[in-house]
Amino acid sequence: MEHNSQRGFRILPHTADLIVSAWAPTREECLAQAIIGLVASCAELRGLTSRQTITFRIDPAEDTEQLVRALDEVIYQLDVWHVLPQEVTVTRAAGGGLTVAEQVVPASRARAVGPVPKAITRHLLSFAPDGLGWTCSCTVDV
Amino acid sequence: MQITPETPYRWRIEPEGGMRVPGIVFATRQLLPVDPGDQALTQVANVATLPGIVEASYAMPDIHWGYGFPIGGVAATDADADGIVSPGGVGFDISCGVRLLVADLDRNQLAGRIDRLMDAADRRIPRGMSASAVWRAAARTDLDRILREGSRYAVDRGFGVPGDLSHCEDDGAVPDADPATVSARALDRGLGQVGSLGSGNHFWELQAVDVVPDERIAAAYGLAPGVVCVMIHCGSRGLGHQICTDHVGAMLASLAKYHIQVPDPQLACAPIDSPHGRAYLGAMAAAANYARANRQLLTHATRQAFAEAGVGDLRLLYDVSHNLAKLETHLVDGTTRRLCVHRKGATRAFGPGHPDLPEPLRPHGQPVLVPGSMGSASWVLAGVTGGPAFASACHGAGRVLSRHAALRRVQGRQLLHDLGDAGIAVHGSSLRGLAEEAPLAYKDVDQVVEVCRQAGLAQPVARLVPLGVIKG
Repeated sequence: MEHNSQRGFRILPHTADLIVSAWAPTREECLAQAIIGLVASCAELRGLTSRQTITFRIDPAEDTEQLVRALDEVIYQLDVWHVLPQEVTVTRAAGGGLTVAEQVVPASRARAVGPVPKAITRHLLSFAPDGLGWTCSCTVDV
Repeated sequence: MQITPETPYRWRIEPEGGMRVPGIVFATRQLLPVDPGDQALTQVANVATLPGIVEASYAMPDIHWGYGFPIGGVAATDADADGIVSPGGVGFDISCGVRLLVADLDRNQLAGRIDRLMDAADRRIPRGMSASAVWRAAARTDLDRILREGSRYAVDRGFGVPGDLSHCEDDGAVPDADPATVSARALDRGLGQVGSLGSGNHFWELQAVDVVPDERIAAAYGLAPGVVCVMIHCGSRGLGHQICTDHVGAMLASLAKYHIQVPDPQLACAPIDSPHGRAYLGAMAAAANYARANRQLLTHATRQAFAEAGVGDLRLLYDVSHNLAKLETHLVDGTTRRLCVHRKGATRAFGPGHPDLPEPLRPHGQPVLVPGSMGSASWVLAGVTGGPAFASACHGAGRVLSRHAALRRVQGRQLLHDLGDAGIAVHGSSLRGLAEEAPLAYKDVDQVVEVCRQAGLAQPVARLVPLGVIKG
């Protein structure tokens, strides 16, 4: 768990899987925290140096759908390109989409600390403003 | 919602609200999921609202909270009366399943060579975040054939023997697979994982037969006390998960078109005979074939490990799926009907004489493979005549503690030592992953199997104990 009252994430229990919950002052930062939280649930990246940037776009959609697609992309990158994002920046793109820029490291160099995420479910899915900024939550099938 | 006992092993949820049929849970009072926050029984009731559902929304004794359907859920819809198919009734890990390999030797003959065998297997079983797979040279054309032909293609390419097909559900390949309904993203994820274990609760386990409550069927299966076996538990990996994600999304978007309302988005569904339904079933079958091929490749790696250790060969007893929807014919209210039987965390359990069983096993009923938790026993059951819930049985022990709760109670390193003291060699990818799979996180598999017996779901045949385990 990141100890920061303004922005951060938590990994919460759910029977056989886990819940990633994140918060931040802005929508884009909140989504970035969710990505970092998803990675933290399975891998420790401290001490690694990123030498690769990956940028991808999320098309306009409902907030929760954009959250699912962004996290789904991280899982795809792990399975297909064997990389994990270490630093994440999310910005608004034209037309309501999002641009996600990641500094990634090879997954082979990460220390495994939990089960590998395999899918983002629509169970207990939320992504909305609260009184302090934005908060989101999703259940991850591991 | 009221749940009342019909017998000590069968509980009933009376239809209310939108429920079209009752809920029936096979469990003892002790095994019922009544902890605050565990919504498995609510999920049984929600499944009972699905269009076309017949007879009941069933749950096996290893029931626990899932997505949409409970894990351990069984529900059949009428394929000829606007019944639906729901990816949530199959699960993300399409055709996750188990196979049991039986070795030529017993544990006494293996003594002194277990470490060498476990080391050989450890090097050959890809798992966890590893980018490795047994079939590293798999090309797109190979993947297409895997999706169509399942483990048959793997055997054709030299990764097995003919007996590996006859002793697999559907002879190694589910019919009507349609790779054209599988997204490019799913194909990308699947290409590099052909022959890999994954992580979470997936495992490769060296076992020995402990006791045989049914000596007649055990003898027919080739099981006797001391016989060495290998149990492999894994599924369709990233490809299957992506297919579920893709088709849940598509069905959610099309619910209004089919005038369907569901109480839970993970119950998104479509009529079986609709473009969305047919597309999902075609993709699901493709993923099921991938899972069979995956377990076949791991079988090949296991045989190589056994050969390297100089401990003989193995034959396949049976391969079962526990996350699948199948079109089957069953008697409902005296009428033969074509049903789409969803089994999510539940195993098909055909009884003696069923024509779909291979000839050597047919007189005795289908082997039902039930892994327990890590370090605890596993079971081989046999399907029985007239088994309820469309001839279904449990698939495992069922979780009772979340991963977090398990972590709070168990230290991975201590668990390693404890299992080692019990004579069980453990090869895992992370200590946290091991702790999350600790035995105390699961129900007592012996109790789950006893409920299967008492409820007439399946007959216990042989109990197996672990000698070594490899986990992702």
